[in-house]
Amino acid sequence: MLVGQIGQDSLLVALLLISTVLVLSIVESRRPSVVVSRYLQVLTIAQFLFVALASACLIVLLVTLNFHYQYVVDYTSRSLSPLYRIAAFWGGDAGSLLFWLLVTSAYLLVVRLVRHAGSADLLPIVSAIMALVLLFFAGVLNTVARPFTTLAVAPADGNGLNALLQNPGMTVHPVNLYLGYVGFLVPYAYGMAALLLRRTDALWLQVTRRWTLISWLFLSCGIIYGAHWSYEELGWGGYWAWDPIENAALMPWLAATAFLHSAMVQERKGLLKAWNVVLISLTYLLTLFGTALTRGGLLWSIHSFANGSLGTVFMSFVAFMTLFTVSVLAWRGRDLKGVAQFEAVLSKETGFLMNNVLLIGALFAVLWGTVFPLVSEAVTGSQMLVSGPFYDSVVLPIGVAVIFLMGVGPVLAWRRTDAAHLTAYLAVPFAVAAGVGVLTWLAGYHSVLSLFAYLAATLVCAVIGLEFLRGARARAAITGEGVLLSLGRMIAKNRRRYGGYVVHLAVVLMVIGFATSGAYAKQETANLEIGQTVAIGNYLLTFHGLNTVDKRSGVLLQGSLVVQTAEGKTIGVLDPNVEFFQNGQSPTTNLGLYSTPLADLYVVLDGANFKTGESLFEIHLNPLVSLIWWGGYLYIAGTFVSLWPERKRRRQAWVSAVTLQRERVYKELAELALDHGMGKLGRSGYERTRGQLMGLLNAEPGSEHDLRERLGVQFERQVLAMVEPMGGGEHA
Amino acid sequence: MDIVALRKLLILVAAFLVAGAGMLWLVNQATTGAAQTPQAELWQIASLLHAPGDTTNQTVLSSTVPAAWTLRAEIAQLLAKGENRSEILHVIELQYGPTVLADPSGAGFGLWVWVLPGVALALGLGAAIGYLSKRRDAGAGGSVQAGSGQSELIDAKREEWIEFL
Repeated sequence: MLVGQIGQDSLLVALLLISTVLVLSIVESRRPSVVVSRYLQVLTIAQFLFVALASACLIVLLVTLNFHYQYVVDYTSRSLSPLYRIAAFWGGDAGSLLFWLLVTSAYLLVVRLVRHAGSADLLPIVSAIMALVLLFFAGVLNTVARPFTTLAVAPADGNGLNALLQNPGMTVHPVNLYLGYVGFLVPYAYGMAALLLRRTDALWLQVTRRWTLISWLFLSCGIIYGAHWSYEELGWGGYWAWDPIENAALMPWLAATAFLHSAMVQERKGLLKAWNVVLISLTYLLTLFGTALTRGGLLWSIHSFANGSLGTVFMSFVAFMTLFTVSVLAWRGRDLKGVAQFEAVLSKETGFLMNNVLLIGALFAVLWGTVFPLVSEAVTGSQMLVSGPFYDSVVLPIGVAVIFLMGVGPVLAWRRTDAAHLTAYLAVPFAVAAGVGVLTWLAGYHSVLSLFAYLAATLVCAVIGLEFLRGARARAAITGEGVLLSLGRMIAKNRRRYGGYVVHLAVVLMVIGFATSGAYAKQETANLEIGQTVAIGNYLLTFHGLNTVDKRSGVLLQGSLVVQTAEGKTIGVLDPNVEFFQNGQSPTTNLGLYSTPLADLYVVLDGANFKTGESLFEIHLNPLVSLIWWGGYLYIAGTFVSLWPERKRRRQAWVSAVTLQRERVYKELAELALDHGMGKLGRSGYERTRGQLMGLLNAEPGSEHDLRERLGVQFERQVLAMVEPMGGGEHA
Repeated sequence: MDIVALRKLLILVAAFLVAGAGMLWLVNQATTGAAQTPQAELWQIASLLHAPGDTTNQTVLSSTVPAAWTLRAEIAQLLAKGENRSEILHVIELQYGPTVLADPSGAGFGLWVWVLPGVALALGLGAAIGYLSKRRDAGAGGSVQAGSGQSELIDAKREEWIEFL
């Protein structure tokens, strides 16, 4: 009982500490002070330690099966392996909220402890916003979702973790999702802080770029691994069901993907300032909305394992945060009006804008389909369900359009692109794509949407291939280095760009997997007697009988099918089974899977007649599913390339702004030369843009002097502001 | 922008769209009326239905609740009687009510689910085009050539920017 008491008390202390962090952060934002800042660092460390202690206590209770606690009874049992006892930490409402609190408090700790060159003034407001969110979660955990609620009498055994959650995926999928969801709080808080302080330049985007990318990576991994888990565990032959909870994870991903692209436009051109704040706010609010769906029990879902009843509490918080965000945007909206302009319609900026329109269009369709049952119930009195066919008809065509744009985007140059050169550059990739389309059709693959997906995917591959090839050649021509060395150095010096291309290639691999397995999967239902054979694709499956296996948790009923090729070569035996549980949980199916790079043979045992041995099997032949998972690995690799820090010159902080500006122009000049060498820009376009950039460099010496003076005054003010609260006020 | 070059680009895009449309037409010609196997047609129809009592949004194709099995058997029987897809869907809707359809029909309030995403996308595209035309730099079309002094500067700075290549 002591461990539980420590856990409960730690949560209460954490609540108090977080409240203090919130108040002091607000104080610090009004009057910056070294003393307050130090107090805040200590308090941030302390709140994290107490949240971590509470989390450790819950894990100890779960692992030691202390059935005096309601949460332990609800989510563990004696037959549960130690790994899943730990995973039960985030298996239920209270535990998952505590995990959320732990991750958020760790993120706040990191934000407070890392260096803040140039963005220190944003930190107090960032801390305040993060503490506000922490306060909500700590409040919920201390009131309506208490993980340490005790029972008067401890039962002999617990209910156990839902059987569907007893999968290795349980250790990966939710953790990644939470790390992603919570991570978006950091760029959101920076965006709000920048807006409140009227610092609407691209600084907050640069400071949070890695946070955003890492959160996006975690969320992506969570989604992909969730699809893999669904494919291997649920036994319906697919990996994505457009379930409300799946949609809840997809929506912030779509918003964040749009944000990652539009942020580049602001960083480069100072455009889309308001749009970027809206996008990151939308991303974060959608993560909260997703949590409300998952933990609130608002909609029925195959994922509502926790059967939560926190819907009202969460939706109130979502409403509060939405109101806060909209108020800040309305209050400071005028500061987001930029003066920068698009130089030409045909430019990378326009490409990113169109990418955003399509991604947000897809997001709206998913959101509308997800909430439509609730809306229809409110309006008509009866709930109208929205399922896969709606999303397939509405969202997938938009997705294919995004892939087409992904093929054209890399060819567009910043500022302006010459139409003639763009045409010439794209002619070969378009021809290759059209050729692949014709061949695909001639080969008998007639699904229209899939055909367009193949066309778009081929276009992207061809364009990216050309980008690497022509880029290396152009660089070699400029520098005089060898092509291979140029290729390596070009990637190393432009990790963000080429890492992005690798991610695009990964997406293309996944799209081919989705398009092929979605349109050309085969399915058979076979009621087989012992010795009977069923054919699917190039495989023959012969039923060899049923057997039972005793397990700690219950009994496994298993059907054995010998798999052969049509030519009679034996491949092996598949043992799809149904697991029956002693504790009365619904039985679950475990599929038999024979996976090859080209196709998966996927067999589910649906039923059996014990007297005759006759058994019912659902057999799927899913082509190219493996590409989705391999695409996932490539996606992670590409994101790491993008994330890897580029080598930076040592510079004095004093003149860093000037140096950064100069380096930015040099970088643009280098990229421009490369684009010209690759044939994206004609001579006149190249010279025009180069002239503009050189104009910026020409104007620099004066601005460096101005900036030194301005920084000097700013520095003096900051020092005075810090000294004042320490008793130096009279000197000011 | 060079008008001739823009025209070439538009011709390329138009040619690609025409080729796509032609391909669509060919595909439709090839697939319309093509005899589906009864099993494939069964799965197609099952993917348009939702089993009564299933609390998830899975279609009859993938649902594992008993009602899904019943519906699959009914579809098979109706197919065996020679009824086509729309007739079968009509019969099943009459029997189980409109909620048996996996998605709302395009009538009544259900129409909104289909219409609104298209409207939103069109509005988004309109807003983007409006933003582009409003924020287009009218003066950017003029040629900015590097003067003789700038050429020297470009050469002088080459060693600097080449570092970033």
